[in-house]
Amino acid sequence: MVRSSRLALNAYELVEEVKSGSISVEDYIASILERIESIDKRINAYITINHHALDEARIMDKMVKSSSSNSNGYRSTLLGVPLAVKDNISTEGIRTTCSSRMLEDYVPVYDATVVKRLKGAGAIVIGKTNMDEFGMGSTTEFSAFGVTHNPWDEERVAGGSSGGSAASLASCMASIALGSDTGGSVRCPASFCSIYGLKPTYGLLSRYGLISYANSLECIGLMARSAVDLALMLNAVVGSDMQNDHTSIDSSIDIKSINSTSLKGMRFAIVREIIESDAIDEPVRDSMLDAIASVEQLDAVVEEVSLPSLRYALASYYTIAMAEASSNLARYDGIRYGYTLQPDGVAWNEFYSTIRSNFGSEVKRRIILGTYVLSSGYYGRYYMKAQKARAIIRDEIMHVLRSYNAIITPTMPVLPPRIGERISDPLRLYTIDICTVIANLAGIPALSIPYSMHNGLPIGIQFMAKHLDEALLLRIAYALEYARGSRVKRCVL
Amino acid sequence: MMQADKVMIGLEIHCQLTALRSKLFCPCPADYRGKEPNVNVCPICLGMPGTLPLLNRKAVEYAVMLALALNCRIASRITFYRKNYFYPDLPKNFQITQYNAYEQASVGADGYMELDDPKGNGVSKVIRIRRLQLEEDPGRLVYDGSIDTSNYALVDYNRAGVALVEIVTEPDFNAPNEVRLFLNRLASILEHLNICNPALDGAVRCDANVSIRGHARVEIKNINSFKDVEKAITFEIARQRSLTARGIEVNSETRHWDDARRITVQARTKEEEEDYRYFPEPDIPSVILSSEDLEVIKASMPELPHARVERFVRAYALTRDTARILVGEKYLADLFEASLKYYDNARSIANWIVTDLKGYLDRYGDGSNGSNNSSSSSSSKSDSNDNSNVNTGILARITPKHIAELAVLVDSGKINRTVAKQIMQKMLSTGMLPSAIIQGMNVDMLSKKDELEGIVDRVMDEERKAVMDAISNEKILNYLLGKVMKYTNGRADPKLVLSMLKERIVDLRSSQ
Amino acid sequence: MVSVEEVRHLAHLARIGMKDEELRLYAEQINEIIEYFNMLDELEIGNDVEPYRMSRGYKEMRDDIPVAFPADMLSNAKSMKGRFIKAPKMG
Repeated sequence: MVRSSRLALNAYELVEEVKSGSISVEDYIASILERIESIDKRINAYITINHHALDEARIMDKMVKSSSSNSNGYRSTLLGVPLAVKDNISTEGIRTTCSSRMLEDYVPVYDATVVKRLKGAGAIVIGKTNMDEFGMGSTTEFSAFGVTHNPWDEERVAGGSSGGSAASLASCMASIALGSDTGGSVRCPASFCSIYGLKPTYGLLSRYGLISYANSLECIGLMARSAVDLALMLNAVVGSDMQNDHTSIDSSIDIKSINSTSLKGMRFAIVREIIESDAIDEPVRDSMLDAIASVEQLDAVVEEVSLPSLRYALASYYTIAMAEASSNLARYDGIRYGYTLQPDGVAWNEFYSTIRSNFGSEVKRRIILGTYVLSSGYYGRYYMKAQKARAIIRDEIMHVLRSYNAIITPTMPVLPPRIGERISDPLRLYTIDICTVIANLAGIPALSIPYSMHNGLPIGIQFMAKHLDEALLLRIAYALEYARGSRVKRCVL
Repeated sequence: MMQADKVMIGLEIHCQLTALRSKLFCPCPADYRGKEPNVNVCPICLGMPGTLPLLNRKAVEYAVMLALALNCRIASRITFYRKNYFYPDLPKNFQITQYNAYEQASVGADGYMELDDPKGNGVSKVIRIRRLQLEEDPGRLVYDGSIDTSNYALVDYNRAGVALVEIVTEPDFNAPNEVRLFLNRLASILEHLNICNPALDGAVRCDANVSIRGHARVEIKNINSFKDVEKAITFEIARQRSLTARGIEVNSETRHWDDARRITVQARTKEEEEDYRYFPEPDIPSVILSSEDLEVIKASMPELPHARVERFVRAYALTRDTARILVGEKYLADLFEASLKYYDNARSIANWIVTDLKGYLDRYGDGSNGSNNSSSSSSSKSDSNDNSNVNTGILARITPKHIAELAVLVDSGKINRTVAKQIMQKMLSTGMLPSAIIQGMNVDMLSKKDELEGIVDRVMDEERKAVMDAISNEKILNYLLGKVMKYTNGRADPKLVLSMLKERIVDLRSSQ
Repeated sequence: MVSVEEVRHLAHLARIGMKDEELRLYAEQINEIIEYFNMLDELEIGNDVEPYRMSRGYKEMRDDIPVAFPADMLSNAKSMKGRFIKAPKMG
């Protein structure tokens, strides 16, 4: 067993220790599993634990030993690193539920490309994490497996929909995590749990194996407790996957230049419509202003810009997301997999309707809304209009990013809400996604950086950059991490 | 028919791109026929969570070729749409297809096909093509026992995701025989492009809409072979005419073609009004075809039937009729051209294929179909297409060498046509080469006088009456010739026999 | 305004069984959300604005090479008859 303080190690530190032989992977994974056993009853980050994790750890240890005689050493960049995987990302042989009763016993026959690549880099899947059902939510309260609690204040939500992944990192039940981000689902819980959450450029990471909610908006996202860990993860998972995903992009990200402590020469934009919005809570606004001051101290220039079409972002985003979702989720009919009934003697419409009534309330609401906006006579008014609005918003963002390296906003306009506080008012819940949906509409990368605490509650700041400029976001993260030092905690032990 | 009750017919044809080796949106093998249920499936075509469609580039190429052959405008951005409806044979509960309400998303649009006037050389009719699109085939539902007695359905997804081209025509047909001409020509185009084998079971399916001017339109679904389309439409027109003649209004409805009873029947359930909620498939980017891409595809296209007919007329001096018959069924045209490599006499080869081989195949097909249905008088000629199923056995045995040898044997005077036809029968049933058959049968022509003297004398002896008549009437010689041919099993050289008979008659006449 | 009956129709299109009280609650919430979506109406968009869509050259699409998937694809199906998957009867 390893000392519990070591469970807070960054992944890059852990890999060094494993390679030098001072930590055995088996010991580390066993300690992680023990911690899950002792605290996850309270946090509820995991839905399913990978029972082969220890076996895989032993194999890693053998590989380390056999390669230590080899002068090159073992090259895997994430050797032995415990990885938490959101439960809408397919893992071969491990149940993948999307936090839905509809898939409560579904076991994929294949690994998502991103999972396969992380495993190839030496990461060990610890388990599958809790989320809002099918990714629909911002609090991880809409789960068939119960709510995930925020490790910083267990009476509050961890954010969502990748709440389990964020909570697992913040409570040292994993070192790195995968989430998915359709309108902020990686960045929101990252912000509420004081970790990093990266939504990459649309298509940079293969979506193969990510269970679709809203295809044209969503990405697999990366979560970590340090900028370097994020860079290592990104490096392991990028690269074309055209043989599995025709929307994926073939690109590499140069992570070698991220470790600069200055932001000299950089120009950042802040958005007037967000700064002036009364939807932003005071502590969040204060933190945002402090962040502006911080980057200016690091020699960046910050200027104000306007995004006049921003007010249509949420309507555009939710119209598109719900339309796509209503179609994506049609396949859950109980015939080939998932929750079902005996079909003998059941009328077919009744068969479908009965089985599909087992979706949770938020999923049903979005399917009905998505069906409405696509239905005969409404397509032009809603879906087509939303896609055109999206094109306009995208153009405005691109215009800003031609003059600025990045746009700074708060990640979430509010502090982590108390459990149950917002769940009953769907529209009000949707509005807290205002700062995050922009990046999904525009397809650009966005990173939530843990910046400060207010009364023990984390506040994250979001940076958005132009397409494929992930390296710039990582560089900002690195510089701020260095500058903020121990003022920002990224896990609770 | 009175002009007043003009008939309007439109078609919706689904052709599987059977030449593709993998499905439309996944790498599963596309050849699903005769397989165990649910073996030809993968996470993508089973609609497993987390999978994404992967467009088969070749399918796009084939659809573009067909669209070009049908004179369509090719979309500059080929876009796929989701058609949302629930059905157990549809793994995702939506079909990936194309939809032109907002743009030309489909591979082709606004094309046409010219129908040749069957009697003359000109174009008798132009059928407009509304659109040509790519889409995925659903799986297959079967029932334990029958649909009425079974308590559930059984699904086989082997076919799910196989590439289909859907062709929709304007309602430009005015008679069932025009439909037949169109479909025959389409089949020939599909074969020449080598993208679809229409003879394969279920490879082409057709829906038709039929209306009499001034009355409601009826959709006929479920017509699973080209040969039945004309029959179904003929029946449906008669049904509608009989209704209107009695003053009964035609219902706007969907009917199914009942293959066994050879009638159209009202669809089992009234189809509820569907709202398919089409929207662009977000997992497949719009496919951009540059003008260079299009040129490359055009250049790679095999020769089309129309051009081939013209070439046959030009290069081989065939009549246009003969050329059309050859090209109408690609295997005949191919056999023709390949046979020329062994024997460079186009007219002779064409004659053997068009008159003898095709004639035999047509008869063979008729015979094997059992009792022929005589109710539809107009359809007997169209049967050449459905024969292709039966014929593949025979045709597989017949090589260009067979045809060439046969023609050479006759043209060189080694055998006569009567023997040649016997040899062809044997060649078609056994696959033996004519040269081998001749050796086995001892059918070389008896062309030496001394071989024939005895037989000629015998006939002269037995047919005294005819011999006497022949002295005054030379036409009777043919009767005597027939007798000699009979005794020699047709092997005698008729010219030689005739001259021998003449000699003897002349002798008799002079001795009288 | 979307009526309860319209929500019932939408639920049928989506094949989601709903009780009457559920339909009423959804009708209320859905109306509030649709009213919010209606702000898109005020956005003046000319016909020259193309709806956002990704595109790719056709050469980037998949080669026609068949590959049989190695795993047992029926492991998640619960109602089987031989290798057929059982489904409700249509009609």
